[in-house]
Amino acid sequence: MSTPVVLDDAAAHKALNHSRAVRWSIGIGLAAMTAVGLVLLFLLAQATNNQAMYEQNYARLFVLNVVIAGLLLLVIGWIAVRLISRLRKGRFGSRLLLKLAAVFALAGFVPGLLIYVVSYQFVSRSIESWFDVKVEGALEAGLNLGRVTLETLASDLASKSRSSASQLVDVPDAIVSLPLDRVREQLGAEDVFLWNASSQLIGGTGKSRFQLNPVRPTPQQFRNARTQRAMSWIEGLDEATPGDITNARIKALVVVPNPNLGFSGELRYLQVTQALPPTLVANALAVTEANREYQERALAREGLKRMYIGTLTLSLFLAVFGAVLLAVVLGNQIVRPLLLLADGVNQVAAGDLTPKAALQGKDELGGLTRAFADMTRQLSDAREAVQSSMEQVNSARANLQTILDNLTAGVIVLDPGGVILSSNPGATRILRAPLAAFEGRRLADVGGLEEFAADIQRQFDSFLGERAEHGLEAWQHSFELGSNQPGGSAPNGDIVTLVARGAQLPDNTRLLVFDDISEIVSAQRSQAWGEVARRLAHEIKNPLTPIQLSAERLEMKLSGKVLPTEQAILTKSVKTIVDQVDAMKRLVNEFRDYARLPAAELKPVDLNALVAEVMQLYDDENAKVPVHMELDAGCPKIMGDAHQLRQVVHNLLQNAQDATESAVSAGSQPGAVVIKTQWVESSGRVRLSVLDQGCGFPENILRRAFEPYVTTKVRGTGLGLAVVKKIADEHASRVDIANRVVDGKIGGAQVSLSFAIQKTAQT
Amino acid sequence: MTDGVFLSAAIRFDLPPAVEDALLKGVPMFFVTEADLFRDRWYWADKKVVTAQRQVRLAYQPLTRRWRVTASSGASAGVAGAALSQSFDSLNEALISLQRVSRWKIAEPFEVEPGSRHNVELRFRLDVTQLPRPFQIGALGQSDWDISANTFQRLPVEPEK
Repeated sequence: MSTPVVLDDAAAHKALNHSRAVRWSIGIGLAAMTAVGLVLLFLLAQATNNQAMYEQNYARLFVLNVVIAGLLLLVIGWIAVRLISRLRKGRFGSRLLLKLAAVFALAGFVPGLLIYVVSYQFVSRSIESWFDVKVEGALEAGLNLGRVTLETLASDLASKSRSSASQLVDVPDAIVSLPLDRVREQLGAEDVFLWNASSQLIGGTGKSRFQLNPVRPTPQQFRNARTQRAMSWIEGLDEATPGDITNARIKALVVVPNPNLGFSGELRYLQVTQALPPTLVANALAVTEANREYQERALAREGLKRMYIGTLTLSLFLAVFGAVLLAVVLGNQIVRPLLLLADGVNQVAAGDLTPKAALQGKDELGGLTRAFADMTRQLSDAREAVQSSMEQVNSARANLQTILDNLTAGVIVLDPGGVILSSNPGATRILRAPLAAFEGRRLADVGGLEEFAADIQRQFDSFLGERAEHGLEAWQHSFELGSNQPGGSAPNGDIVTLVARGAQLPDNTRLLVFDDISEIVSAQRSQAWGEVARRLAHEIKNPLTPIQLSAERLEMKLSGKVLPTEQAILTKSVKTIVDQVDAMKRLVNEFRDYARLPAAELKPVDLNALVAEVMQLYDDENAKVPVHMELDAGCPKIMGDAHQLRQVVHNLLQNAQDATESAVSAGSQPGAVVIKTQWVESSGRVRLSVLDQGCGFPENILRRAFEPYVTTKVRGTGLGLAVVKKIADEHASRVDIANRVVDGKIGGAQVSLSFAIQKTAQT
Repeated sequence: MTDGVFLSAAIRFDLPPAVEDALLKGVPMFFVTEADLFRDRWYWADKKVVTAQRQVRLAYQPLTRRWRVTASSGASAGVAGAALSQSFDSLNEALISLQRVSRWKIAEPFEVEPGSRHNVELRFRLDVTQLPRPFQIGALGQSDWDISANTFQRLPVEPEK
C-alpha cells in the first residue's frame, strides 16, 4: 500500500497550519490564564491563614481573582456565542462539538459542585460551631468575676481608708508626714497623699512622694468624694496588657473628718493608692482579652463565613471555567478528525472523490482518517475504471446501433409473447410499418402484419420444439408479404418477398432478422428470362429462314400456274407468311439483343449531339407524334457507349410516342413529347429525361416496369424498358420512372436517367 | 500665643446600634478627622496647601466599665504625634468629647500665603480599615458601619491676636 495522500493542496496545508497555530496559541493562553488563576487561588487560600499577608493583600487578591474569573467568563461566553452561532448556521459538526463540550464541562462541573456544596456546609457549620453559648457564658462570667473582685478590692480599700482617715482628724497640716506613714503601713499602700479642699497637696508618703507633681484626682472625683465621703477607682487597666500590669492601681479618696466643722471650713482629703495583685490583674486581663477576641469573632462571623465561602465559590468558578475551557479545547481536538472524516464522507457521498486530507496523529482517529483517504483514492480509481469501461461499452453500443440503423436487413427483438422489444429502421422500411411506434406492443397488432406475426410465432414455436432434438441454432424461412391480402388490387403488384431468420437470444427473447429479397428475386427472374429468350430465339430463328425461303419459292414456282383466284390466295398467304416470319425474326432478334447485350464500352460521348442525331429520325415528316428537344448547352461529355445510348433514346421515344398515341385513341388531346438534357451541378451528373403526356403507368406496372414482358401495350414485347434498364445498369446510371401528376390525376409519364460525366473533362 | 491655622468643629452623629454593640463587647473603634487646607487659584484647580490628620480611638474597658478616648495627631500636622487619653464613665461623655474638635492646629503660619483666599475641607469618618479583617468583610458596604461627614468651607484666614 502506498502512503496515504496527506495533503495535495498547498492552500489547504497552509490553512491547516494556520488553524493549528491559532489553536496552539489559544490553548497556551488559556493554560497560562488557568495557571495564574490557580496560583492566585493558592495565594488567597494561604493568605486566609497567614494573618499579616492576608491583612495586606486580601482585597487585592480577591479583586484579581474576580477579574480573572470575569475574563474566563468572557472567554467562555465568547466561545458559547460562537458555538451557538455555528449551530444556528448549521455549520457541520457544531452539534457534536457542543455535545462533547457539554459532556466534558459536566464532568468538570458536577464534582466541583459536589465538593462545593459539601465544603459550604462544612465551612458554615464549623464556623457556627466555634461560637458556643456556654463558652460565651463562661467568658462573661469570668469577666464579671474579675470586675466584681476588682470592685470589692476597691470598696475594701475605700472603707479601710475611711477608718484610717480618722487618725488624721486632729493632725495639723504641718506634721502630717508621720501619721501618713503610719497609715500607709497600716493599709499596705504604695502612696498616701493628703489634699486640701483646693486640691493642693498637703503631704504625702510612698514611692511617688518625690515626684514633683503627683497625679491629682480630677475635680469630679473630689466632688464625688465629698458627697459620698469616700470613693475608689481603678487606674492603669486601660492600657494594661497581660504582660504589663505595673500601672494597675486602686485609688481611694476619702474625706478626712473635720470635727471643727464650720470652724475652719477646710476639708481635707486622703488619697490612698494600692497596687493590685498582679496575678489577679493578669488573669482578669486575660479573660478580658479572650472575651474581646471571642466577641470580635462572634461579631465578625458573618464576615468570616462570607470570606471563606467567597473563596470557595471563587475556586469553584475558576475550576468550572477551567474545566469548560479545557472541555472546549479538548473537544475541538477530538472532534477535528471526526469532522474531517465526516466532511470527507459527505464529499464522497456527493460524488467528490478528490484526495482527502489525513491527519498524521498516531492514534486511531488519525489512522482512521488515513484509511479513509486510502479508501477514497481506491474508490476514485475504481470509479475511473468503471467509467472508462462504461465508455467503451457505450461506444460499442453506439457502433452497434449505427450498424443496426444502417443495416438494410430488418432486425426485430421480440419477447416470447410476440411483443416488440426493439426494432431497427431497416425493419420499418422493409415491412412498411412504423415499428418504432409499436415498441412494447405485439407484432400482431401492427396493421397488415397479422399473418406475418402468426407465421413467425409458428416458426419460433416449432424451432423451440425441435431445437432440443436437432441442435439447431436458428431457423430460416422465406415469406411473401402482401400476397394473400384480401383487398389487394393487383396480385403481383405489392408483394414483398422476405427471407427471415430467427434465433433465441440468451435472455430468452427472440431475435428476428429478415431481408427484402424482392429485387434479388426480380433479378433472378430477369436472368432466367434472358436465358429462356436466348435459347428460344436460337431455336426459333433456325427454322425461320427455311420457312421464309420455302414460302417465297412456293410463290415463285406456283405464280402464274394457278387460277387467278388461287393466285390471289397464294400471293396473300405467302405475303402473310413472309411478313409474319419477318415479325418473328425481329422479335427473336430483340430477344437475342436483350439476352446477349454486349458489355458497354464507356467512352466520352456528347449526349446533346447524340440526341440531335437520333432526332433526325423523329423530325416532323417522319414522326407520328411531334418531339421537342430541350438540350442544356452546358452539358459536359458523359461516359457512355454511344451505340447503346442510341438504343436507349430510341426505346424511350418509342414508348412515349406509343403512350401519346394510345392517349389520342382514348380521346384526349395530348401535347408533344419532350426530350431534354440537364447538367445537375450539385450531384455532378447529366440528366436525360423523356416526358410525355400520355396515359402514364398503372401503379402495379410502375413497380415492375423494368422486368421483361411487363407491358401495357397491345403489341409489345415488354422488353423496351428492360433493355433501357440493362443499359443503364451497364452505365452505372440511375433510372427513375414516375407518373407526372397534374391536378391530382395522372397526366403522363416521365423517365429520367442520370449519367456520370467524363472525369478528365471535369478536372 | 502661637500663630497658625486653628480649627474648631462640632460633629453630631448617633452611634449605630451595631457599632455600639461592638464597642460594648470590647472592640475599639477608630475615628479619623482629616482637614485639608486649599489655596484659591483663579487659573487652576485649588492647590492643596496642607493636610492634617487626627485619629481618635474609642474603647470600652469591661473590667472597670469605663470608656476611654485616645486622641493622636497624624504626623502630617507638624505637631509631634502625642497621644492624649481621657477616661469617661459613660458612653455619652466619651462621645461628646469625641464629637468636639477645639482649637486643632492644622497649619503653621508660614504655610499660609497672606492676602489670598483659603478653603478648608473637613472630613470625619469611622475608620473601618483599622477594624479586624473579618469585620471589614462583614462591614463592607453596610450602612450600619458607615459614619462619615464632609464639609467644605471658604474661610478667610486671620492672624491670631
